[in-house]
Amino acid sequence: MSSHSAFAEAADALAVSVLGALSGTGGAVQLARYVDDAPDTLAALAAVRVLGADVFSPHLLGGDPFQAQDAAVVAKAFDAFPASGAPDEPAVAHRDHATAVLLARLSGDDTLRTVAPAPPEDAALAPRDDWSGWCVLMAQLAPLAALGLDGPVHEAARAGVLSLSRGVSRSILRRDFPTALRLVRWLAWLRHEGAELPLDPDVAAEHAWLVGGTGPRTALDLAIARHFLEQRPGTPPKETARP
Amino acid sequence: MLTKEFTLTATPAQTTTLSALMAEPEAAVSDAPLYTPEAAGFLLALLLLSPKEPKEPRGK
Amino acid sequence: MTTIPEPVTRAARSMADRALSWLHANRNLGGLPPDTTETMADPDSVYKPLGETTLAASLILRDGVAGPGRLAAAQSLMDFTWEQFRHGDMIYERQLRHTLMTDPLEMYAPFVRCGYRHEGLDRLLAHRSRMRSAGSVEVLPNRRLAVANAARIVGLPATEDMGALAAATWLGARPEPWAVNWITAYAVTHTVFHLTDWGADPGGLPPELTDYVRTWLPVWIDVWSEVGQWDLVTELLVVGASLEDPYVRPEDWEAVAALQHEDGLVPRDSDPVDDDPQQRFTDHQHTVVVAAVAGSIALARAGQR
Repeated sequence: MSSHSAFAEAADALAVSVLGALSGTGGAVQLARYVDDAPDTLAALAAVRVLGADVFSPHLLGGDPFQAQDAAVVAKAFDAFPASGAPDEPAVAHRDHATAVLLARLSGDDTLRTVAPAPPEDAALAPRDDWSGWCVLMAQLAPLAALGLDGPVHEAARAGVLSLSRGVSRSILRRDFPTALRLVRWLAWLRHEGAELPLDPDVAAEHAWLVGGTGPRTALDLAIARHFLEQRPGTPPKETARP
Repeated sequence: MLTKEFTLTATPAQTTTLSALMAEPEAAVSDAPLYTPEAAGFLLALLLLSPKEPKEPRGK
Repeated sequence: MTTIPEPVTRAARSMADRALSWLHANRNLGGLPPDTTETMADPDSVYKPLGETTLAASLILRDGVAGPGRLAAAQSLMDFTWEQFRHGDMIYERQLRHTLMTDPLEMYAPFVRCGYRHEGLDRLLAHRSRMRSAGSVEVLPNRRLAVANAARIVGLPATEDMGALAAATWLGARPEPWAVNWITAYAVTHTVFHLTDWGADPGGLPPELTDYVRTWLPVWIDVWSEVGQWDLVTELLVVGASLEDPYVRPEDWEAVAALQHEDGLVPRDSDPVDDDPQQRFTDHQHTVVVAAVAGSIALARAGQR
């Protein structure tokens, strides 16, 4: 099996586990056990890196207590796959830093922020005339649409409500439903932040999922979007740090 | 507690693979709506309960 | 204040001029077969294209932003189509035979706009406009707008509530912009065409619909450009140019202008263009008409202060 399919499969499996925890049916994620039990340890760690900030969603949205061994696993994932100062993809640096921020906060260990430093100012982030290209980048940054995160990417999202709405519509019309749902997640986050939207993210999300939703990672984007859509605007994260 | 200690580091190729999974591009090919006469709902609306076309149009 | 950027007016000029040349040069390919009666077996094949060519010429003459040579060509084209309709006799006979058909009025309106009249048809249409039956024929809402605008141009008494007609269209509901299909996109373009009288009255599109169109037009242009649906895209360009505050992106206009052949043909989609001139006319005449209309309207908007 190629590392691409191994990593993708592992990411899907981890997403299923996170989904279970989010929905309250699967019990806590238990990252340490997940990696221990995995036949391919490197793939399991890759899965943690791929999902990034999303592994914390049951804690942020559901209030599941964050365990020390979970923090250790995430740190190990960064040991195996160190954050790059100059990654191939601009989105990667932002995703990694978001993971690091949440890891430090939830574990109560501020030194963990250094596993992925804040990326330098990114001109590509500013909403631009090329709204469709910008939306491709924002879709890659979907895990940042999470409770308790804020920064340049979120500023860009706030300034780009119209572009994101256009992006959702475009992706649905192109029948690219995973991208559509990633962008809908941003709209759901924005609505939770109090933004007024030119389209209804709930209807768009349901449509995209019914017509073309496949795979646990896309299901996870939808589930997190739904959490934002169902909560009262301004609701803070349920789990903010270990006591 | 982790039951096994390990030291693993990804190869550059594996790191590239990871990046690709983290930053997936949008669908390369668009499947935007095109002309589909059979899917035109309004045609169906006209066809239901509409009279059968006479064999020889009577010039009306 | 209408601002049409210079790259757009450049593209518009090129599109309109070359499209008109093509329509004029190829007009005989669109002539009615000699034995055509008022009851046509297949009105979509020749009758409708003749009407569309007439529309394009009428708007070029109306807007008057073409050079004298072009205006003469447009006039010549209208003389040709008027002759094809036997100076209106064919349109008259069709309405006489088929009371409930709306297309005679729709065909006549561009001619009236440019000063051509048929006495019998005027009387018949005035009579018809008094009939409840003729006014209630079941047609799609955007088509009702076409008929209403045509009636206004011909000078018939206004019987329709344009606001109510607009509200009854798909566009009027301001629906989810991602829940649209190909044919409905054309319903949108036609709704805007008729409410704005082909760009002459941008305020004819109610403000909330103008906002809605401005918000989502970039998505539709993007999506259908990507799959090479140039006929629809060019109609969407007309829509953009017809808005109170025009939406005219240079890249969009330049893309269509770049696709136009030297002789003025504009391909309707990304499929190969047939070699046979008659087939080319059948396949692409509509798109050339739309390109002529788009160019003319954009130039007219640019000329306003």
